[in-house]
Amino acid sequence: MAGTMSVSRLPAPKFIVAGLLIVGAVSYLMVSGFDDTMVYYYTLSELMEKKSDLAGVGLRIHGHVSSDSIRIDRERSQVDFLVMEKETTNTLPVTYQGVIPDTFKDGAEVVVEGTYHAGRHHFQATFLMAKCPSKYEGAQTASSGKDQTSDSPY
Amino acid sequence: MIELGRYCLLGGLALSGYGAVAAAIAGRRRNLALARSAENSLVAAFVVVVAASACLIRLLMTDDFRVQYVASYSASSIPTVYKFSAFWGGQSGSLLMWALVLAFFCLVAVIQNRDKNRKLMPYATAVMAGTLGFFMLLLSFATNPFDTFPAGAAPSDGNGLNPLLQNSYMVIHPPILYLGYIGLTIPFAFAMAALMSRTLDTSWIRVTRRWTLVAWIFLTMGFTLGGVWAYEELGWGGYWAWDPVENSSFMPWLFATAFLHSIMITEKKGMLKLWNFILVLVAFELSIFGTFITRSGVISSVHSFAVSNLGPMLAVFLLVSTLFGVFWIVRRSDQLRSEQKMKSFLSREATFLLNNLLFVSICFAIFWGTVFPIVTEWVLGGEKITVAAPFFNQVTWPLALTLLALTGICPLIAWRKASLKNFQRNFLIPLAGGLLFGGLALFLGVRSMIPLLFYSASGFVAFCVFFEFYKGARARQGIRSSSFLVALKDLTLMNKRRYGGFIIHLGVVVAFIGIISSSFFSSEELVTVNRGEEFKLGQYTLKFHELVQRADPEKDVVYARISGYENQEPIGNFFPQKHFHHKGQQPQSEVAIRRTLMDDVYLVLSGYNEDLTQATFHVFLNPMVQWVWIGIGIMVLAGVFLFFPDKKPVARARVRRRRKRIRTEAA
Repeated sequence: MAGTMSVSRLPAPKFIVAGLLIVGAVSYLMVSGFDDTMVYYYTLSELMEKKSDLAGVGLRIHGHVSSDSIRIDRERSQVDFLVMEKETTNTLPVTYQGVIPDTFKDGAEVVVEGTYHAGRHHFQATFLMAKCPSKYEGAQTASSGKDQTSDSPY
Repeated sequence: MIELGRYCLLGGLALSGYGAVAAAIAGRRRNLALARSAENSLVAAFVVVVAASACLIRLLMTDDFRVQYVASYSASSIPTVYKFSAFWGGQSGSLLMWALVLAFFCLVAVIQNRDKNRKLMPYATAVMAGTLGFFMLLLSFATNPFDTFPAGAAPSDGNGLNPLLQNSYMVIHPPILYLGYIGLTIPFAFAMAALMSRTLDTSWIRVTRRWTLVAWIFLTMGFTLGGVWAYEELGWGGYWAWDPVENSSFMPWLFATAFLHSIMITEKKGMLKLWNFILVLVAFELSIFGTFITRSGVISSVHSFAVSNLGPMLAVFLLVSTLFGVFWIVRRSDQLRSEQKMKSFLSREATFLLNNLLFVSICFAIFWGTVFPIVTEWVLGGEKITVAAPFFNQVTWPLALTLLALTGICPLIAWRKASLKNFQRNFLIPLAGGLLFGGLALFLGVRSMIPLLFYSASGFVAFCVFFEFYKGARARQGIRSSSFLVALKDLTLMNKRRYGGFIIHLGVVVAFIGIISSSFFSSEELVTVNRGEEFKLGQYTLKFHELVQRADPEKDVVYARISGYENQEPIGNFFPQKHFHHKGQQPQSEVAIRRTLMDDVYLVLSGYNEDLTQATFHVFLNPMVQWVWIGIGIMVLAGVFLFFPDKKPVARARVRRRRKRIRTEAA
C-alpha cells in the first residue's frame, strides 16, 4: 500500500481497552452462565461411584426404563419408574412430575434431569426425555429396518 | 437407473476434480482458455448432478426398494409428496441435494461472471469446484444413495418417512436451509479468490454482497420454518430450544449478518478489510460445521442423522479449508490495512464495529455452549457436562439487548465523531419513543427488568426508523413538492440499501417484541379433566366435551373435542389429537392452536384413561408468538427487496434527458 499515509498497525489505546472490556464482559457472561446452568451427564454406574458428592448438583442420567416399573398417577401428572443400566444390575428409582413424552414406555432409552438424593437413593426429575429407537429418521440402518413394521403400537 | 445414478456421481467427481485443478493452474498462469475450460467443467458437473438427482427421485417415485435409501426413507403407502421429499429426508439423499444446490450456485456464479471479474474467476472456480468435489467424493464413496441390498435381500416395502417429518414445513424447511448454508460457499470462494489473486479492492465485496444476502434470506427462512415446525409439531409449546442443530443454523446467520454490516464500512471508509475476510471464512466454516454436527453423531440432538462414517471426513474438510483460509488471510494481511483510523467511540465506524463484535460474541457463546459437552469429555476424560437453554438465554440476552439498541443507533450516528447536536437531532425523539414503549409495558403490568429493557429498546429502534423515514420524505418533499406518500415511496426505492435496511430493522423490532413476550410471559399447565368439565387458561375458558377414536388407512387417531370461550363468547373448537401411525413405533401428538396477535392458545392431548372419559391436557398460553413470524417475514421480504438494484440510474437518466430536452428547446 505504498503511497497511502503511514498507518500504524494498532488502533488507539482507548479502543484496545474497550475491546478488552468487551471480551472480558462476554467471558464473564459465559463463565457465570456455565456456573449457573451446568449439568453433569452421568451413566448410572458413574452416579453410583460418586454418590455422596452430588447433593444439589444438576444431573442428567442416562439409562433404560426397567420393564413393568412404570406407575403413572394421572391426577397428579406424576410418574414413578426404575431406570436401569443394561450392562450392570444398577437401578435407580425416579419420580417425575410433568408432561410424559409419547416415546416414554417400557424399555425406552431415557435421559432424566434433576437432582439425586444419595440417602434415599432416589432421583427427582424435572425433565424427562425418552428417545424413540429410530431417532429422527425412519430407521437408523436399512438392515434393522426390515423388522420394524411389526413393531407398531398395536 | 441405479447404475446411471452411480456413474453420474463419479462423473460429477471427475468433472469437479478436473475443474479445481485446471482453474488453479489457469489462475497461476493467467491462462484464459484453461479457466474457461474449468468453468465449463462446473457447468457439466451441474448437468450430471441433476441427472443423478433425477435418478434418485425416479427410484423413490417408482418404489424401487432394491435401493437401500429408498427402502429406508420411503414406503409404497406414503403420499407422493413425501416420496419426493424423501430425497432429502435421509443422510445420503440430503447430501446429494447439497451437491445439487451447490452445483446450481456454481453454475449461476460462472454464468454471471463470464465477462466480469476475470482476475477473480479462476481462483473462485477452483474453490467452488474443490468444495463440490468434496461432496461428490462423500457421495461416491462414503454414503452412496444408490447402494443396493445384496441380491434377494431387498424388502417388499420401505420403512416410510418418520411421521414427524410428514408435515408441509418439513418438506420445504431442509431445502431452504440448505440454500442458505450452501449460498455461503460462493462468498467464501470469491473471498479466497481475492486473496489469492491479490485483487484486494472492493470488487469481491460487490460480487459477494448479493450472494451473502441470498444466503442470509434463506438461512433466515430456514431456521424460522424449523421453528414453526417445532412449534406446531413437537408439542412442547415453544419454537426455539437452543438445540445443537438449531444453533448450527443460527451461527452462520450471525456471521453473515455481521458481514453484511461490516462491508458497508469497508465500502464507505476502507476500514475493516481484514475483518471481512475473517467473517466470510468463519461463516463458511460454520455452515460446514453445521453439517458436521448433524451427521457425525458427536453431539446428541433430536435432529441427528444416524451415526456415520461421515464425521471424520467432514472434520478433515473443515480443518483443511480453515487452514487454507487462514493461510491466505495471514499471507495478505499486510495489504489489508485500514485506509483510515477510527477517531471516536461516538461514530458510525465504532458503533458498526461494536455491532460486529456483538454478533461474533453471541456466536462465540452459542458455539461454546454447543461444543462444551464434547470438549469437557475430551479434557476431563469421560465426564460429560452439558448446558441447555438456560445457559444460552442467560448469556445472550445482554448481548442481544445491546445489539437491539445499536440497531437504532448505528445507521443514524454521524461518521467520524458525533456531536451533541447530531445526538439531539437524531435521538431525542427515538429516546422518547423508547420511554413510551417502556411506559406502556409498565402500564400493562410488566414488572420485570429484562422485558422492560427490551420493550424500551424496541420502541427506541422503531422510532429511529419511523423518524428517519419521516425526515427523508419531508426533505424530498421540499425538493420535489410531491405528496408525502410519493416522497416516501421514491425515497425508499432510490436508496434501497439504506431504507430497505431500515425495514429489516423494523422487522427485527417486531420479532423481538414477539420473542420477549412469548418467552417471558407464556404460561403452561397440566390439567386433567372429565368429560363435560371446564378449565381456565388465562382469560379463556375451555370445555372438554369428549374423546373420539377414528381410524384411517395409515393411522389410528384419538382426538379430544374442546370448545373455547372468552367472556362467554365462543372462540372456536379445538381438536388436539394423538396419532398412532401403523408404521411408526410411537404415538405422536398433534397440537391444536388458536392464533391471534395477542396470544396463542396451544393445547396438547397428553394422555387419557382407558374408557376415554378423562383426559390430561398440556395447555399453553403463549403471548404474541405471531409477532415473531410476522417480524421475520418482514425481514425476509425486505431482504428480497434489497436484492434488487436501486431505481436511481434510470431516474437520473430520465432527469438528464429531460434537462437536455429543455436545453435544446431553449436554444
